[in-house]
Amino acid sequence: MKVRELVRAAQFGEPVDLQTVWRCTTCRACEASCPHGIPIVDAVLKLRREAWKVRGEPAALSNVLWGIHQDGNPLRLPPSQRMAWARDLNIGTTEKTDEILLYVGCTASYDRRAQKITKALVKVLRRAGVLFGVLGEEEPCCGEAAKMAGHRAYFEEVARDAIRKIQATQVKTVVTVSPHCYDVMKRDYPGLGAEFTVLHGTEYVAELIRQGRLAFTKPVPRTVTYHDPCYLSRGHGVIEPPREILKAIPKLRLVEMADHGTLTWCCGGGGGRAYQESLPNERLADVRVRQADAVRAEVLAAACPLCVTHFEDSAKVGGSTLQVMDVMELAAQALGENPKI
Amino acid sequence: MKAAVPKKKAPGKVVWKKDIPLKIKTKASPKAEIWVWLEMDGETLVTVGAELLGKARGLADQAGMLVTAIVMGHGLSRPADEAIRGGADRVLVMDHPGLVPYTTTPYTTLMAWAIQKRRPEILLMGATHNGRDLAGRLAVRLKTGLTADCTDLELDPATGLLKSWVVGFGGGVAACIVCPQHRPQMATVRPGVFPVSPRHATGGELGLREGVLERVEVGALVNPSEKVLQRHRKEQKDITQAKVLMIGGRGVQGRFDLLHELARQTGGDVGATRVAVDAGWITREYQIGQTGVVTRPETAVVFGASGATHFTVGIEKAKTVIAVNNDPGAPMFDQADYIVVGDAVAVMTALQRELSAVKIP
Amino acid sequence: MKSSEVRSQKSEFRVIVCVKVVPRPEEVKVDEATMTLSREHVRSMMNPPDFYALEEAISMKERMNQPVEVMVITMGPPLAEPYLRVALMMGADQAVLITDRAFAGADTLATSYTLAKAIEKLGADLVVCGEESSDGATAQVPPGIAEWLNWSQVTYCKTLTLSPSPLAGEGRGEGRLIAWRELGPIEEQIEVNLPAVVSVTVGSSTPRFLSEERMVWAQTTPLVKWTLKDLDVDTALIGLTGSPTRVEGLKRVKTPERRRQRIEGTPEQQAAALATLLR
Repeated sequence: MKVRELVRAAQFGEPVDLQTVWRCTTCRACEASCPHGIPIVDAVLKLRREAWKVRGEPAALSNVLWGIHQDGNPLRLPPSQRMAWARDLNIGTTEKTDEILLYVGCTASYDRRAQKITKALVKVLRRAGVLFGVLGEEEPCCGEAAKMAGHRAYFEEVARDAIRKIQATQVKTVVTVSPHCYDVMKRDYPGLGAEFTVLHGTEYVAELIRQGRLAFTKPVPRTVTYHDPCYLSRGHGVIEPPREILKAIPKLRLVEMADHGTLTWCCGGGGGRAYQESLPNERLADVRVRQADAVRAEVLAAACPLCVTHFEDSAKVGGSTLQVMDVMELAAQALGENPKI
Repeated sequence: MKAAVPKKKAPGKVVWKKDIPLKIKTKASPKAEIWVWLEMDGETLVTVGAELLGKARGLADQAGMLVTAIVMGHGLSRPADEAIRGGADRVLVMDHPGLVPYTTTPYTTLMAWAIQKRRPEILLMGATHNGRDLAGRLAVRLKTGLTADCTDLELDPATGLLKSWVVGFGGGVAACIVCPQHRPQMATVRPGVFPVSPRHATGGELGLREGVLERVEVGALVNPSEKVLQRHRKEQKDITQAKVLMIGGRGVQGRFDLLHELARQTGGDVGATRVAVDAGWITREYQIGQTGVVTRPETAVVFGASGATHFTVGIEKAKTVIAVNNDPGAPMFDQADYIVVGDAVAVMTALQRELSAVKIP
Repeated sequence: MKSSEVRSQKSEFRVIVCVKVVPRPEEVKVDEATMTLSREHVRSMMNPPDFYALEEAISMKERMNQPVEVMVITMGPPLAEPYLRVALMMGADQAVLITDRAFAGADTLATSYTLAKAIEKLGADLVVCGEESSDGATAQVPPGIAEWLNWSQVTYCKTLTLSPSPLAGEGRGEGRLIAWRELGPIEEQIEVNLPAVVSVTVGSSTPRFLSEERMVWAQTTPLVKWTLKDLDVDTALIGLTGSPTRVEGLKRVKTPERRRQRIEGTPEQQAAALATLLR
């Protein structure tokens, strides 16, 4: 992944290696170390936008965009199943008087592993007595996958529709499950007319703890290491809140793995990579799992549905005994929910 | 009988078939006929033909009708015999080298001509690729009703009409279709819906069915405007065509030899999760799922896979899913019709032994 | 929006793609009392196989040595309009909506007749369809259109190669078409005369997504809308009247949840049960 070569080639109008353009996970590690502060991810996305014009896009991403267009989600699952995760939870649609709108997002709605994270967050919110609702079956895709695929015009169309639907609820604060939805809502939505506040689940729950609305009573006596999702940490500086939550859990031993905080690695799911195949020797998630093993963690915690699914796969393949959990699942456990660890 | 040569049509000019009346009422005949079109694959009859003959025989016996088979191709003596043995009272044989392989123009012309001469009540055809190619055109040539992919056929005792049961909307809706006035009442049926005619299958016992073999002179009519340049079996590995898939995940611990054997025993193919492919146990064209292939087999047997969403999207459309895993809480079990909690390798070994003991027809 | 006139250039090779807007299969509701499909609160979508037909036609604009025009048509209710615009965004040049209550209730005979009449009026060199529709799944309309028009047909194509001769004057549809057909385990290469109607298989290509440059234009450009009076049809052959088949009974088959039936016992016992299932 030769960023410098890529940028130079684009600068001088030389043929760009499309493989490099599509391989990028948009994790911003390069931006963090660039001495000139070049917005490299923007450049990559612009190159992707140009690639579409000459049909240089990967087939997998074409399929992802058709998913958003036809089915309302990149996973190409039926819109009528978007609320299947909430079947036994009795969650209402939003009321004007709600404190927050819980924006679930496509992965957290449809992916069976990710659904557990969503349910855990719901349990935490309920225990804190938060008044909230969801958009339900009609919840629109946030469009992040379209943005990362490089299709700017379609992303803006999807985003505008999402903004319209969110603002129609008149709820002023949106809480997301995924850092990916969070990213576009913080970065792009204001420029497209959005006027609501966006928080990631961990930011909101950390605030609930600070306000005394949430107290963890059940001990979770495990050694946990926390992986910073790249979009959260480098993308938006959300580094302390997930740690605040973990530190508030009784008997939980938090150890830091190598390359934490803004030095974090992408799990390999960013930049549209979650929908494409990566060669085994290029799996970033494998490295992170090894780093977690190296600090003798029992649990690898993350705060992103893509990170969790990627790490679980890597742990399985690599034969690690590491348990992969989302911060919300640990929080729910510390509240006495989720008896199974 | 000899076929008449149709008038040549000016190229590029659209000609509306006003010469065929819109409704063809069945002429009073000594016995009404059910026709079955038998498709040839080279020198053998395509199996669906035997399935339809069996069904036609059943319907005919019920209503006092006759079964006529119509077979087109070249070198048709044995197929004609098989047709009689399979239940036909009469076989119309159209034998000509120009009829191999199937091409639309001569088949449509010959079928339409024969049907207009003999006015059958019902015409059944196998819903193979070429069966559908032919049926769709023929129904319009004859201005009659065609019901596709029937899952069952009945004769209404009150009206004598053919009732064709079909499933649509991806299996979500079942409908009974009739064609009250137009003739013949046409229906296509997918291979495997009806059992192969028992007479045909048991071979020995039937031997002495009698039937009439009628050879039709078709030379002049066989003038395909299509030209088949090449025709062969595909080379590339394509597991999406398999009816049965034996799929391995992490729990098979590399034993794809067993999976290949199970696939062979069931006439199916092998599939794999990404974990298995990454582990180097099998190559990537067998990978099923979001970043692999999406399959829709009749039966998918999944060994040792936990059932992550990115995998199950590749087998969701399978008719029956059987899952084997030693973790009773595996998410795969939520997506399965049959659950086997156990060690994948142990079950695969036992199954392989079990299948080799009894032959699958 | 005002209906517009069809634009025609005699020097262009015209490909007409027939598409269909269908209800999402998992949402389809049946009113068993009236034996009809309930359209209320059922989301629609473009028939998935039609994307491959569109891709095939649009890619011809890039592949051929002469100007190619792609026209997309559909016979359906007004709600089909946005889907035609999606086709324009992909790369189609003109769209025609054929809509009239008189066409409703048509089975495949009447549908293929109506489409054929529209194609005859429009004039074309090639008609491309998806291999079947996800609702009825009969695959009868493409051969039906070919028969009404007395054109060649090739079904289940995965690739198409055209060698049209230069179009002189008003002679539309000269030249030959070579197609590879996908027939299960067999593949076949066949050559036919133009004009032709072809159906294209699912998976034969990767349908391109919407083109950024076309999005704004496609949303606002006027579509051609034809009703009964715009087509020279025999009313006895359209709609319900022109349909030889009719539905006598209709019922919803609930897409079953997986059975989740446990098979107990030793591996040998479990294997025996599995073997029975596999026969």
